[in-house]
Amino acid sequence: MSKGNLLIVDDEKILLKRLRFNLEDYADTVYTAENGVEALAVLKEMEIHCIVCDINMPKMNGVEVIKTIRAEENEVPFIFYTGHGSSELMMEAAKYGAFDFLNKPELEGLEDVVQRGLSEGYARVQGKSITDESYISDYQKMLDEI
Amino acid sequence: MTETKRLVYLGNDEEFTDKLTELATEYIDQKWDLFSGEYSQGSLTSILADNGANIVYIDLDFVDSLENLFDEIVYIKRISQYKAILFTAILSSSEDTEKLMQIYSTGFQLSYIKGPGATDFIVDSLYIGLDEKVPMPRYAKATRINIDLRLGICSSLTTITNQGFGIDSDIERTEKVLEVDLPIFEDLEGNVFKIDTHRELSHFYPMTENYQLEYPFADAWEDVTNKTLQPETVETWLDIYSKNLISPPIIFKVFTEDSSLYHDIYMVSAENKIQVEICESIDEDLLSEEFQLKLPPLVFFDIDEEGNNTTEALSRIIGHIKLIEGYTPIVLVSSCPSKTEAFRKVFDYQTMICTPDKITKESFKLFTKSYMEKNSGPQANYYRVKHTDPLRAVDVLHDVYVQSLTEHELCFASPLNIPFFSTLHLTLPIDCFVTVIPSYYDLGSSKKGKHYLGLISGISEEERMLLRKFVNQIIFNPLEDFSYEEVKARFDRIEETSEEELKEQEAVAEEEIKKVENETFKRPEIRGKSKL
Repeated sequence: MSKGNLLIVDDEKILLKRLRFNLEDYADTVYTAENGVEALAVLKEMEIHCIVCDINMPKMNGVEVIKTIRAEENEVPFIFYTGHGSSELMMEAAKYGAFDFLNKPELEGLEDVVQRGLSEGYARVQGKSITDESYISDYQKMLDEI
Repeated sequence: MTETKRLVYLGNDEEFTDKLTELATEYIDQKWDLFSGEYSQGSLTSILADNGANIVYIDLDFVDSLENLFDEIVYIKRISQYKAILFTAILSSSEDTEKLMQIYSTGFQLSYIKGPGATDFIVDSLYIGLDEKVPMPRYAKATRINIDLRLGICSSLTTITNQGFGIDSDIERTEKVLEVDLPIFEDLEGNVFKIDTHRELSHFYPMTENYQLEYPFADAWEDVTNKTLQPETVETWLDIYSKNLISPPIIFKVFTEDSSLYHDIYMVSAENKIQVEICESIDEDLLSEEFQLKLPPLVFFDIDEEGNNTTEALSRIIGHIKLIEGYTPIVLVSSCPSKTEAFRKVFDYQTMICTPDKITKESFKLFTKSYMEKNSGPQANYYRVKHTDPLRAVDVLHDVYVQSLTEHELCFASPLNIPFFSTLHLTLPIDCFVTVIPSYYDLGSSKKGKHYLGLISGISEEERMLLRKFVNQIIFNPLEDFSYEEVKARFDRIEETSEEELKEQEAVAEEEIKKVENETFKRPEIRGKSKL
């Protein structure tokens, strides 16, 4: 069964390499880009089902990347990883539809989030319904806990 | 394109609607229409959702449940886009003062007691509600009243505990006490209550201020007087009366500008007996106080980056929520572009659920129903008073300087800032209600404070005749010592006035009326606090 294609965007080459290594088992193909411009070029050529992106990059940050992609009506899931002091960028990115945010450098739970992101992104491209009613059961659970 | 002005009449009196149509045709300059129907719970929100309204006339003789009507009006008047709607009540009799007090403290600004005075009432409503150029009624004016008179600012008792009580009112006080005509403890003669907290927002009713007041308990070593209470007195009263009181309602806040939902949301709230407050915009100054006072367990936020409900606005709301210790409402974010996990991290707030779908009647119903199934209500640390409880409508007492009086209007001075279109309860010379309006003539100035003009309503034709006779008498025979006692004595003696004297006084009054020019007046620009 196809897992989907992943794109990782980060200006730090070492981190890019590490993430590629950690995530290559979860996707069919892992593409990498060292900046936003490269990322957009990859997206033009390849079918990408999930993007993992550093939110804070020089020249073109993660917000600008997602904003540009969304402007082309591409709803690919975006997972951002953020460092300390990125709250404003996070809020901006969230306006364009973020899948999740993870903290650098631990990136705890990244594999699980990427799997879910790929699953949703792949289903979307396949034209499958991705209506997620889990929020209703989440709400019920929350009410039980209160 | 000029918008159509809409008059809404709920009742079954063709004579009234004929008169309304006649005067509206004569005085409304723009396109207008009249919707006629009958009231049932939910009909008001439905009418407003369909076509809106500028003035609503409700004949209370055709309303089965005043409790439901008041509940709906309170809901409506808290919505910004409906705030300017003028609600007027039509009744058969002015005898039930309690009922009139409830009407005026719920969101109505004018009332009409059926009889020959429909023209004045309708003209007044067009002046207030439509800002139209109308010929305000001309009556003889007694100009040399000049007395200090105590009147009541129509207010609502909202909460009762064994330590004190809460009221919503339009009066802004700077002292540490409030004088309230509280109809609870018969032996308590004093009206002065210490203010525990004051907020520039209301708890339940469409008013501008909320006060939490303390009972005047006697100190442990003091004897109880007619101005103090013992805690046991309050406990006993609560034990007996609590069966008439209700638990505090669960309050949900809904941040949405989609007015097509307001009716459906109201019906869900009525069905589940909860209170829903629609917030179309974020008032930063009041946001924190609103949440602290009401502690809504559910907050619905429908994102609209083009309107007021932006992601930044949500951030500010959550910021205020986080400042309240021990308070973690569920925040339901609809039309959300991001996933729940993402938003929880953006705002660092875990009790949040996000959905990309817009809030709808069905989703609101579902969330509400689920909540109610698991919650029997908030911890009842206070009782609430029903809308139609005889205790609910109270007067916050205030002394004003009455300068002039006609059978239609009152001119007075007060050092307080009284919002335009708030309503006052006068008991001298007759029991009536006064709606403060932007004046259509120059009121002058005095050392007694700001001058206000108020339109008198809530009186029958018989009472109006008495008032007319009183005014005529004052014109004919001016007051001498300008005191409450003199005014009362003069009024009490009206029925003793001979026919001959009455005719003489009327003739003088007629001459006074002729001096007033016959012109039309448009409501001037409102400067200052206004309820509409």
